[in-house]
Parts: sequence; C-alpha cells; structure tokens
Amino acid sequence: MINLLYFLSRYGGLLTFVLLELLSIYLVVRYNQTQRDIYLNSSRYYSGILLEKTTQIRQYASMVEVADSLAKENAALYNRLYSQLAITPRDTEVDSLLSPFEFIPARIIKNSINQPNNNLTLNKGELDGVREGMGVMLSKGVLGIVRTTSPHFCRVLSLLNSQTFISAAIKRNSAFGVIHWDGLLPNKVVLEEIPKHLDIQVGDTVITSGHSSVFPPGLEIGRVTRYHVPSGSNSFRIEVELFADLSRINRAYIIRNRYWDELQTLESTESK
Amino acid sequence: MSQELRPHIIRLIFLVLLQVLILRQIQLGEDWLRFAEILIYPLLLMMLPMRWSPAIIILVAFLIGLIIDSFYDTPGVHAGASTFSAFFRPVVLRIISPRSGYDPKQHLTRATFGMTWMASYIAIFLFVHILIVQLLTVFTFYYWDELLLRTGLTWILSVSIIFLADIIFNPKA
Repeated sequence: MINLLYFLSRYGGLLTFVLLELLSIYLVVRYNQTQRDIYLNSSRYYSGILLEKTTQIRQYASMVEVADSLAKENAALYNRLYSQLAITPRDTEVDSLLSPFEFIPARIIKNSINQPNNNLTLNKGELDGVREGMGVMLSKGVLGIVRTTSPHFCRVLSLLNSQTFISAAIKRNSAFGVIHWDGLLPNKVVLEEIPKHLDIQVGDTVITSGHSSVFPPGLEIGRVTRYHVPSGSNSFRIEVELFADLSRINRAYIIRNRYWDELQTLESTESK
Repeated sequence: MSQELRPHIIRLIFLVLLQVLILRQIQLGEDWLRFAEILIYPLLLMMLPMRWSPAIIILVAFLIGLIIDSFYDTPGVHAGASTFSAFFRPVVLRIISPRSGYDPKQHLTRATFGMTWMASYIAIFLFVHILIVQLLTVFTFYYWDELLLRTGLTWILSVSIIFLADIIFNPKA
C-alpha cells in the first residue's frame, strides 16, 4: 500500500498526463471533422505503405516457389504442345495423342559460358527420371545433353562445348545438318553438313531436326547470320546466332523420351 | 479550504467567461490575420498552486481545457494542450527558477517573483501551450508554415494581453 502511494506520488503526474493526453487526442480525432479526415487519411497512407512493404517482402520470399510452379506449368504446356507436333511410332488412335516426349522442369544451379568446354549442373537427377544422354532445352532453344547423373542432380554438356553435336535443320526448307560450337562467342554456334546445292539465306530460322530421340522436332534454336562454303568442301559453314542468352538463364527443361530405352536397345543392336 | 479556493474559483469563472464570451468573438482580420487568436485562460493553469500534486494540477488543467473546448466547439484541442502544458509546467518553472528557489506556499505571481520572472513565465508557458493548441488544430506537420504563423500570431497577442492585464489589474506589485 505504501509502495503504491509512493508510486502514485512519484509517477502519478506522468500517468495522469499520459491518460488525459490520449483521451484528448481521441476527442480531437473523434469529434473534429478536419482532424478526423487528416487522421484517417494519413493512417490509411502509412498502413498502406506498411502493408505494401510486407507484401513485397513476402512475395520476394515466395518467389522461388512461384517460379518453380510456373516452370512446372510450362513443362505441362510443352507436353501438350508437343503431343500435337510429335510423330509417334505407332499410328493407332490412342497412341497418336500420346507424345513420346515429357518435360522435367529443372533449376540450373551451376553454369559457365566462358570455358572452352562448358558444363552445367541441374537440380534434377535419377530419382526424377533423368538419364544420361537426354536433351535439355530452354524456353527459347536448346541447352545441351545430360552427361552424368546422380540421384538428385545431373551434369549437362552445354551447347557451348566442343563435344556437343546436335542435329538441326533450316525451318524454311528442312535442310538438316549438325550444330556445334566453335569455341569463340557464347551466343554463336556453327551449323555444318548442309550440302552446298541447297538454298540458305541470312535470317533463316534454325530448328531441331527431330532426327534423334533426344530433342523434339521444331524447337527453335537461332537465326542464320552468315554462311559460306569453305574451299574444298561440299557443304555450307553457317553461323547461327542463338535466341537464348546462355549467360542469363536459370531454368531449363530436361526432355525425356518415353521410348528412350527401346530406341537405345534398337540402335545399339544395329551398330554391333 | 473553501476560503483558500475562492480566489481560484472566482478567477476561473471570470477568465473563462472573458475567454469564451468576448475573446472568442474577436476576429482581427480577413486574410492571414484570421489565424490570430487571443488566449487568456492559460493564466489559470499558470497560477494553480505549487502545493498541489502534479496529478491534480494535470486533471484540473484537463477540465479547464474541456470547458473551453465546449464553447469553442473543438473537443479535445484545448483539453489536450492544457494537459500537456500542465505536465510541462514544472519544467518551465525550473528554467526560470529564481536564485532562492521556490517555496511551495508561494503564489506564482508578479508580486512574489517580480516583473522579469513573470514576463518570462508568461512567454515560455504560453508558447508551449499555444504551440500544442495549434498543432492539435492543424493536426499535421505538412503545413508547417501555417502552424508557425498561427502559433506566432496568437502567441504575440496573448502574451501582450495577459501581461498588460496583469499590470493593470495588479498595479501594486
């Protein structure tokens, strides 16, 4: 009791002040139109700023999830798109709707473009159905071919690697050849083995040929910027500018062919 | 007790009536002069006895402010300002403390502490009070120039009137 009295005599003034001042401000805001409007507007303004900031932070935190789900959606859309384009091995009614290609969305966790032989690491592995030799594509173009796999990751031979050869064609006339990298610029590759009697023009779109089980046909890769016939050669040497900027990618789709194993066995028996 | 309170109550009635019946009606000009008010009731808060506990002084100040508000039709503005300046009063008194200090029995008047002391007491106390009144009226720092103009005009007028009134009505000291 004595303590309480002491407390009140010591801090009673402050307590009374705070209570009555708050009451006054409440009265001001409650019963004066101008002050009420100012209070409501500015509190709305500041709470708006606060809400916006927290939403931004929350959105930023969930960005990876959002991007993952978008990548999944993209893969599903590719599945539907290529189920209409692709040629299936058997022409029965049911199978003609079924694309041999499936797309596995993956994140690029390691990338390089400035080495003579570039490789990438993706965050999908054997457990997700990734096998050695499968193709990897981007939303605009091809990225490379899976070289080694572990349960959760895979290493990809980049298009910018001297060991990578990908079958490609000119979209306009289906003339096909092989794409590889000459090791010079990260946005330029070379298309070779197209016979010199065929018609090539600057600006032609280069697509995947579909002459392999690795990439679906019709995937756009790049555009012809220059071409010539090297002396003593029967085919063009065509410079192709890639559509995708390989230095700024972070997502890719691994392409799985449903008939992969069957085709592998078939081709290996033939070559024996 | 009633003997002791009587001058306070008479002063309260007189100053409140003067404030709300006469000074409230005065409008000095049209343009920027319309911001100028004359506030004389803070004299009541200034003269509350030092013996009273801070809580009582603040409560009384709040009630005086509410009375003024009820006539000015500005609920909370004068109450809030009075509460604040009553809370702040010990600080003002300490700033202008005379060399001998204060005795709680003394009256806070010109007769006790002299002309200079009274002048600075009025000036500082009213500045704090009027600043809070105008702040609660404008209710934003955005128009800070209007806030300063209102405070300055009202302060000059009120200080002069209170000081003159003090000299005229208490010539003895």
